[in-house]
Amino acid sequence: MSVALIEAQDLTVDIETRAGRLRPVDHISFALRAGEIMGLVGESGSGKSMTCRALMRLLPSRQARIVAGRVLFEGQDIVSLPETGMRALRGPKMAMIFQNPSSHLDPVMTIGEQITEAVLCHERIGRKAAHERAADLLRQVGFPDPVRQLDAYAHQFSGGMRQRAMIAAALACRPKLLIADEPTTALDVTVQAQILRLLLDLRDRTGLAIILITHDLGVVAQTCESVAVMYAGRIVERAKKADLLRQPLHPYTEALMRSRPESVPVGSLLPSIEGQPPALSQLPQGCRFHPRCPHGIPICRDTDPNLTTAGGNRASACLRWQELYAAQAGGRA
Amino acid sequence: MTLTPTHRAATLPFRLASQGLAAPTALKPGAAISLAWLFFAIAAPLIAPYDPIAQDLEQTLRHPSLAHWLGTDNFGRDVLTRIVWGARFDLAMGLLGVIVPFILGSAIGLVAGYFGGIVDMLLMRLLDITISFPFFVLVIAIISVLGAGLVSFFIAVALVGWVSYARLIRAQTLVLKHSDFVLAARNLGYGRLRIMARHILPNAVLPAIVFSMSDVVLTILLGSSLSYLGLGVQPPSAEWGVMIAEGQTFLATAWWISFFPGLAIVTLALGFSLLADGLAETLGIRE
Amino acid sequence: MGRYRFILWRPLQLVPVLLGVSLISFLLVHAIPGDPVRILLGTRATAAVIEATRAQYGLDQPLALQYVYFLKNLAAGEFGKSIIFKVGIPKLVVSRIVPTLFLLGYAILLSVVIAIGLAVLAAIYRGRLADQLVRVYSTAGLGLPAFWLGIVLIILFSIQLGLFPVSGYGETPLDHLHHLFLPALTIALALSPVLIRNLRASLLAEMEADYVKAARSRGLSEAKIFRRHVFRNSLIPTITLLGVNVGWLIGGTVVVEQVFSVPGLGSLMVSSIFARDYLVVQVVTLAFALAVILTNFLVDIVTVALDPRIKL
Repeated sequence: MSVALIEAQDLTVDIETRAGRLRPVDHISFALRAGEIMGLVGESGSGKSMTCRALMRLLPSRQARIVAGRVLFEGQDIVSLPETGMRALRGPKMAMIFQNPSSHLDPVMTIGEQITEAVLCHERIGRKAAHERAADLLRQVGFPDPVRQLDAYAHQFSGGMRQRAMIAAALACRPKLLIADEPTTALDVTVQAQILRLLLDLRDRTGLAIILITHDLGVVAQTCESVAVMYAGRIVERAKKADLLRQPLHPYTEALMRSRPESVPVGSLLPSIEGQPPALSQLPQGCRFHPRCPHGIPICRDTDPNLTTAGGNRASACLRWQELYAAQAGGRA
Repeated sequence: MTLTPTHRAATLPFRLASQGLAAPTALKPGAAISLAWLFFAIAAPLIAPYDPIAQDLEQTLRHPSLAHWLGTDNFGRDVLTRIVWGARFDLAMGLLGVIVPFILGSAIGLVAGYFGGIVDMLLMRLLDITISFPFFVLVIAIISVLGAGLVSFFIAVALVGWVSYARLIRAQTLVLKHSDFVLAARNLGYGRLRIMARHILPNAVLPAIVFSMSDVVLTILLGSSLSYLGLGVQPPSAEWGVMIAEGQTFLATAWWISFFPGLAIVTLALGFSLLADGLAETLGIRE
Repeated sequence: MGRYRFILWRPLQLVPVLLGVSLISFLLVHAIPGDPVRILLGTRATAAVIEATRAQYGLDQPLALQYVYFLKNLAAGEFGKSIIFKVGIPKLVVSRIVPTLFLLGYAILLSVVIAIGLAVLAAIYRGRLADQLVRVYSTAGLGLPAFWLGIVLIILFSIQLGLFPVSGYGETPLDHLHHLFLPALTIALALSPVLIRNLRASLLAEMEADYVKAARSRGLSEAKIFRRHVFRNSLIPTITLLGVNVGWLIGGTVVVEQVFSVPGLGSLMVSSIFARDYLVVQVVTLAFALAVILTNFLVDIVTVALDPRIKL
């Protein structure tokens, strides 16, 4: 078994709000190897963004805190690392790109400056070398005229190009892990495909590991190797992509897959999952999904299920996964 | 649901009542201070201990004491009395000095915004030219022509101060003239004047009202500055700016003559500033 | 760069405004009832001078023609003599402009330093005592009359502490710095509340901006982020605000020059008004307007330089 690049063990984040103390990230565990692309799937509010911010210790520190668990990056627990230590990791080891590239780029700085400032901050190379690296990065992410475009501003580019610029800035110090928080949600469908291809390409060339946050299983299908599905702050299913798409082991995953436009005949109504995800201040008793679950039985209301191994590198948090799905999968998962 | 500014204003009493003690923090102290000064101004003859104009040459340049809480000036006049009486001038300058610019500016802004085209262009040119002069300089230039005094002050302020109101009302009019209720009125065949006055103006006027509160502050400062220079209220009237000017020769020996009237200006201005802030917050308007 | 092209067009666009401004300055004097010649020259002018003035200004011609004469004289730089100072008006204005410009520059410098210092302090220590104090100052300060503020500064620093002279301008440049410190500080303290409110709000808003989060994710330190991203973005609306207040600023020198007896353009205006020296009043008013127009132009250039998104 190869060593994990980053491993979360029972990571838990609490947040203080006017409604009291809430837990948006509840005992999250997963592992990612170098060069692996993992999809983190869930609806808005499921905790996927919060989890990744916790990984990079970028939580809004006034209200949110990691209260339990460990995050091992290259074997070292970074939860208790002092902030100066974390800053040394952000950029050179781990980096993040965000959903809205327009608001995440400084409007009054050239994109070149935003790439070089990270380099100059972390490495002892001169301005000229930093500039060359920035131009090279722009070329790698697909800018047609890198040297000139270094001096351009974000507002002079389209959404897709801005996202590429953000990717270039994130990769400036050659990190090993890239967390991509819904990088294509705000972009046109055609541009989406280009950006995803770019990420795959970068992984192939540099061995970059990627955590791809998305609510779109289609994106997962195109790019990821492994998937973790989150609901109300918990991981409810974990599997290799192929296995998951072939046969989900949790009713929530099943419902997500059913509600994709691709899986439904043209002209028929798009099925949606009834109800809403629960507010963190009003979590249901027992299994958090049971109020919306078509397979719910009384025991689901009384028992809060743990994420249990379901054989062959899979895990499910459904109490009934075996009777519901293993039979269909021919007894094996 | 987005309410027009007038809707928000109309429901203000209900909302303030339901908020009760939770009303915006600036509104209450602001109202309290402003009303206090209003009271002093009106009740001056009753509450001031001495006569504001009568001289008492035995009591010149006295320190603040129990007999004269804020001291006396070089003519033996009680400073506290003159400050209380002086509130009349500064409040009048502030409150009245805002009315004509408000009306004039709103009218110009409404016409410019509604009619657009050449009318708008000409009026905006006039506006550009007026704001090319420093406000203060143009006011004293006009006063130099008209002669010093309160009347000249009001005329000068009207001729120069309409600009801010015109801009605010014009901006609102430009937006409102395309709104549904105006289109409906036009379809019903209402005359332009009626539409402007009864449909657009009531909805456009709120930001101008909020601004007028801060404008009261600016006008008080303007009026007292002019009086300080000798171009506004004239001595021996007990106006705060005049008092500060008269006290300037005695800064080394009797600093209180100039100091306390200025403090009065600051507190009165503070009252209206807080009122303006509170009003803006309540009505949800940011300048 | 194409963004600066407006610099070429602006003088052309300004022509109507300049004409309008000169027209108003011209009309000022002609709004006074009475014989314009007597008004302009005072009561002790000789017959010869009266005739010459009538000719130069076309005072027996219709008003429109007089305006043309006025413009002609302006262009030629001939304004006649001031009544009280008995020197050519151009010379008078030029000699008085320097102290005012000095005071203005000094005041802007101090305003910017104070505003940036206090706003940054308030933003960094948000919610704590420093922030509360700054907010009190930026609210109460809006009602501070500049002339009274000057007098309080005189009481404190000139009379009680003896650190600065009470009035005047001084002889050498170093003297000027000393003499004009309190006047400049007065203007700065009166102007900065407005700037501080705006800058503080901008800073707080920019500190929560998405691009700040992105920079943080790249490992930049908070100090670097503040300097390179937050501060630069916040400064832009505040510079614009400073530009908007330039008219106030320039007008404010008039009163402050009186308080501190600074021999500048503002005190010239005031003394000319009292002496009924209307020619001077006219020219100085025009000079002030030109100063405002020029400064607004400069502020526009600075804004374009700072914000790459703006096209004028």
